[in-house]
Amino acid sequence: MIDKYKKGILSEQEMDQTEEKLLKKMFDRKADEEVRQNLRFQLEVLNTSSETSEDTSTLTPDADAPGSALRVVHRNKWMTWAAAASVLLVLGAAWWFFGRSTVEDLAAEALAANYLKTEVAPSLSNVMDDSQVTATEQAARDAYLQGDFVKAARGFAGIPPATAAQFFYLGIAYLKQAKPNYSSAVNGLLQARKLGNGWQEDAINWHLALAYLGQKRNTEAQQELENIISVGRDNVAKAQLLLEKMK
Amino acid sequence: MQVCNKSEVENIKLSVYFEKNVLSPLRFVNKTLTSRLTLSVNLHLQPETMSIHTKNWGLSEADFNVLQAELVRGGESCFQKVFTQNYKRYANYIRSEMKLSYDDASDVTVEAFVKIHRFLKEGRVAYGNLDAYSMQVIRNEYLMLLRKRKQMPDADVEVNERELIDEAYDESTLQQFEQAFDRLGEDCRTLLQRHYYQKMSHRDIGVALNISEDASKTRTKVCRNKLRELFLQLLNAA
Repeated sequence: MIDKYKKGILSEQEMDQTEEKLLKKMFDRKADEEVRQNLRFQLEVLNTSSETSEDTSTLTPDADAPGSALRVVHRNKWMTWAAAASVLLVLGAAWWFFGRSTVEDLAAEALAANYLKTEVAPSLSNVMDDSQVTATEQAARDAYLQGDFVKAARGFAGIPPATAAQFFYLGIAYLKQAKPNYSSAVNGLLQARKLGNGWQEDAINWHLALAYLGQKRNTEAQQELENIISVGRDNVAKAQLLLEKMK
Repeated sequence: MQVCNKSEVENIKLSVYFEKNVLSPLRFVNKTLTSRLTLSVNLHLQPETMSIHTKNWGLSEADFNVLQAELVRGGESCFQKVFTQNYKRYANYIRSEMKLSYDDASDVTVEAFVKIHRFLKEGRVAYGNLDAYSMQVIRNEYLMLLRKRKQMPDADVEVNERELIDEAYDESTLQQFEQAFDRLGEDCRTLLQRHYYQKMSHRDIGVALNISEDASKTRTKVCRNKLRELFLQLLNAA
């Protein structure tokens, strides 16, 4: 059909029908993608919630043997930590010898990561009456304020999030961790944007741009950066610098 | 199973009833009281009722209607609850039945629910046996996965599943069409989206954009011509 369309041998009505089918298919794909991201985010929240109940030891029922006793799994992680420390030591030494790069020397992705590491996280705003904050959310907010973003992310994910603010701080917490979880951060921030009707717009735009850069999704990052520049409020200079680096 | 919390359900019911102008407020109050009575009766479900609910993601028919109405209105919370409450069961099923890895089973289940979401929104899914329907969509997604990995020829896909597969155009054609669409101006994109996706009439578009119905028709035609021109350019350049 497309070959005939291309060659122009379809009737006007058939051309119209082909385009309408393509339009429907295209819009369906866009909508599907949004739903897909949403469902994946729900899965992450599900997984994170189940992780929240675990600590240094985990009680796991043996699924294959109904009624069998629970077993305790201890995690001995000191060897992993020791290995990680050695690697860091070697990397630190190499960095010392080969010279430190300035902000201007960094590529866009590295610069974005640098911003994430050095900038202060957006402050918690009181978007709700304190009496409405549940104990779980309060714990997440406390962790966020203390800079424990892993705990904060788990906390916000475990509520589970439903408001723009909860999604926003969840997204930021995912981003501000030592090892950022970019895809979850993007999902959280997109939800915050969707629900917030302009609330924290500048911060959402900026952190989405950084998250996209972290994922090497340059087209989306560029759109967010251009948006920041066109809005013309916060982070304009940094957005311009990142855009230049991306060229 | 309670899919949405009570206030969500009541809000949706209210808006659906009043939007459609089906019931007078008095009849609405009467009907709501009746439904509340039904809810309390459902706490002591009969075995037949239990099995109907079990076959339908744990939903009553009224819950299902609420879910569908919410999706049509762009809401997601009921569907998300259905998904989170049923995901594990389906993922485990496909994982054990088809010997899939955890990641593949998860992908297949999510993709199936993406499709189910669309079909629900389009009113293509009826209450009755949503569980069997979901299994069918999941199995279909599994076949799609095999096809993508070229582990199974097209001919092996059962005929009755073809309508679900719905792949009339190849990926590159769709991408070229998307590119052409993205090159249109913001106004054209919005107009086409409203008319061809949201199924808004030219009269409604006219009201929304503060233009006449005829102007909406003319602009749509201009945008369609522009889209055709751009799409043909891309097709011929390839």
